[in-house]
Amino acid sequence: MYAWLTMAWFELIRFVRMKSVIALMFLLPLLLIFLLGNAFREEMKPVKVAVHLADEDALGTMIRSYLQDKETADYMVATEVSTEDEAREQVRNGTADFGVVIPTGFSARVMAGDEAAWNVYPGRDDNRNIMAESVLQRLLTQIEVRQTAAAVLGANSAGLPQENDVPRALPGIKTEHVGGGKDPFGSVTAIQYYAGAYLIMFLLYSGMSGILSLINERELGTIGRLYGTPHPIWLLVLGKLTGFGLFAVLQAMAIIGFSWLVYGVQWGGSPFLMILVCLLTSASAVGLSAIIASFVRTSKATLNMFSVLTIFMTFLSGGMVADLSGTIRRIGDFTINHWATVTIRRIMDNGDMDHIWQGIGVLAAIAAVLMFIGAMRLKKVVRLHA
Amino acid sequence: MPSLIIAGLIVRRTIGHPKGFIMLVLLPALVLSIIITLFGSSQDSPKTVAVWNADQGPFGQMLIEQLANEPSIVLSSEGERSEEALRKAVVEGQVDAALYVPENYTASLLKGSQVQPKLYRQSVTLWNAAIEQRLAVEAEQSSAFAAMAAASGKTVEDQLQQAERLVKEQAKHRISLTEPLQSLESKKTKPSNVLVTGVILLFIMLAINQSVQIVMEDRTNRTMARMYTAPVRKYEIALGNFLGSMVLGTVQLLLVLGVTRGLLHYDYGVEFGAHFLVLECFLLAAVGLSTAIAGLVRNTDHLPQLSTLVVTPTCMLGGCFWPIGMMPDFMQKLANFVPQRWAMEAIDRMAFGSGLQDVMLPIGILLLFAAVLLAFGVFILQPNRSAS
Repeated sequence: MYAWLTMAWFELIRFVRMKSVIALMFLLPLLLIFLLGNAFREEMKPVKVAVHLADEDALGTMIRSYLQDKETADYMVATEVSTEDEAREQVRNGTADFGVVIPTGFSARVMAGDEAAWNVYPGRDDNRNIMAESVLQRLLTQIEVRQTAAAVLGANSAGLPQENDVPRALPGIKTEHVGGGKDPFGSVTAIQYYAGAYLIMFLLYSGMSGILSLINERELGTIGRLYGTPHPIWLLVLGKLTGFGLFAVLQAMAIIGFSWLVYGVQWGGSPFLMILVCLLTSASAVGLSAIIASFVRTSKATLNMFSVLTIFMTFLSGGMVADLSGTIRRIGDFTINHWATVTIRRIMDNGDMDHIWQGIGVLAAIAAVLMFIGAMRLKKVVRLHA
Repeated sequence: MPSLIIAGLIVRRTIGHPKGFIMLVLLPALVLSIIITLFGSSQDSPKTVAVWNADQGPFGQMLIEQLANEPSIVLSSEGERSEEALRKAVVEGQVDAALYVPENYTASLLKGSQVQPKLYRQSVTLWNAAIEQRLAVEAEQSSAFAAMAAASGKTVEDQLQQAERLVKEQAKHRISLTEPLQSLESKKTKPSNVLVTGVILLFIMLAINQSVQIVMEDRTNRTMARMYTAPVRKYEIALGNFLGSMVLGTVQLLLVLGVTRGLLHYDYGVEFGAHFLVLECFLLAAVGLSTAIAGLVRNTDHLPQLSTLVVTPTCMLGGCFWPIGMMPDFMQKLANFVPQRWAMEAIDRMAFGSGLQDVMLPIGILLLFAAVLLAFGVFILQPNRSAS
């Protein structure tokens, strides 16, 4: 018992005292969470549109007033330019996000019931293009409705309600998101999403460090010393791994605590469940890295292989690009990260307990299987004469 | 000449052995190939939308026709005969979205009550946001027509006929937004461009970090002191190390561009020469950044960690993985301080139709980065300064 605790304690001290550990295990995840969480924060800026209005007839005036309308200004800032080329040039060099040209004789064509079109110059950003197009589309629809009404109802249309008079209490259509929340991050915010994803990714890394430390003992030849102590080797190995388990808890608490206090990330009301998920993730990482180490032997190869695997799993589980679709998403369901992050998000959400325990159950099963195989293969990692 | 020998040695020590070659040259090419196969084309495949029109009147029909007119959409109306079935199809990913037009949609609109068709989707994506907007406008138009029809007809039949006439007439008055040819020609940017170019930048930085690491090892192991016993000058050693990094980066760059352009026929929308030039300028800035980082650490063991700590976040900030325009303002301003942003900007602008002469500003900024960082790095990394 004493030997086990001593081993754990010294392993922890040794690991925490490395400067690079502080940088990689605490600083980097917090930096990544900050960057990703803020990069995807929803912020709507009005789209800048360069407008060349060549039509000065009746509809031209209507268009101009629409473009300068207060309601439109929330979505679109229209700047009038004097030629079509100028509009195009502004879009090309990025001064404007979108360009539109209302040709001469547009009013006349519409009045005559002819086909009419506006030239548009979409810019570099697809999101902005869609926004600009939908604002313009709304205006075009207003014109269309007027024309149609005039054609069908003729002179009678004067006294009839126009499109603008229709009370619009509800939006035209209702949208239901069956994937969970409103955006790709499901029911949580971007920063919550990435805080979960990167907490898990870096827990996987720190879990691997336990096995790396064992390989290092072997590579430096100090494993012989461990065999020389009056304790069974498995107890010492257990001690070392316990040290890294403690580190994982420390790391998880630091990341959770800092992101909660400084970034304001909500982690939900069950801190113990959160720590349980972290420990299970860490255990899976230990098992997985032990399996890898038993095959590739050297610490460098283990590090490389495990890192690549971790990055892939993070990617597949949506830790980098949130709205993965189709096959990639389904492959992602088979990763440790998927089950860990999904459970963490449910805890953040203070979701259904059954759901949370279901996630924890799957994670525990993964951890158990990996730990079991890892334990079987561990002999190869800590063998005295490799 | 001694510089060239030193440079050659750096290249041999980084990619001269199988493992280094795989990690620094083949892996980047492979990763980019995977990205291009996964993301390069997926954007263009048509989306399937399941529809169920329970409405008998003209307005429901109008909505469905609007969807059918979208070139990027394939409608599927088989099987899904209830709201629940539509929902399930979307949840299970059989279709990309679903539209349900409720029973008596037209009739309710004519009565003045507001019934909403329902769009099901898993999450917001660019294409379905566009569809949502389009349908919303269309639905508003329907309610406008409904109000007119209701006011003009006495009986329900009259109103219905009037509504049908309005819808039919409206089809003749469509005003469209068209993209003139010259704009289509210049618009070659694809959503995948950002990621592909960004990953190229990432790998350049990783490769340069490797070569700078080797220079640092020379210093820590006192191999650099040995070099002094040979008849070479200080600047020749420094130049050699610098050239080695440049050659390493160029080799990687040429292979990556060769594979993506030559083998996979990926269209960056930029001429090879201009593309290569911008990337070389970035390479220069990356060498500067790497040496500056190396100058900050005294212990080589910590260099890889510090490099990761710098490279990954700056790549994110610089817009290597997602378009910079979608980030909040303060982050866009921060991004101006990383070289990746300017390389992305130059390539993005050229892909959008600008010539090389239009992107002199970003290129100039890249060179400025290179000059400042290299000066800093060279000062710190003087060979005769001993590592502690």
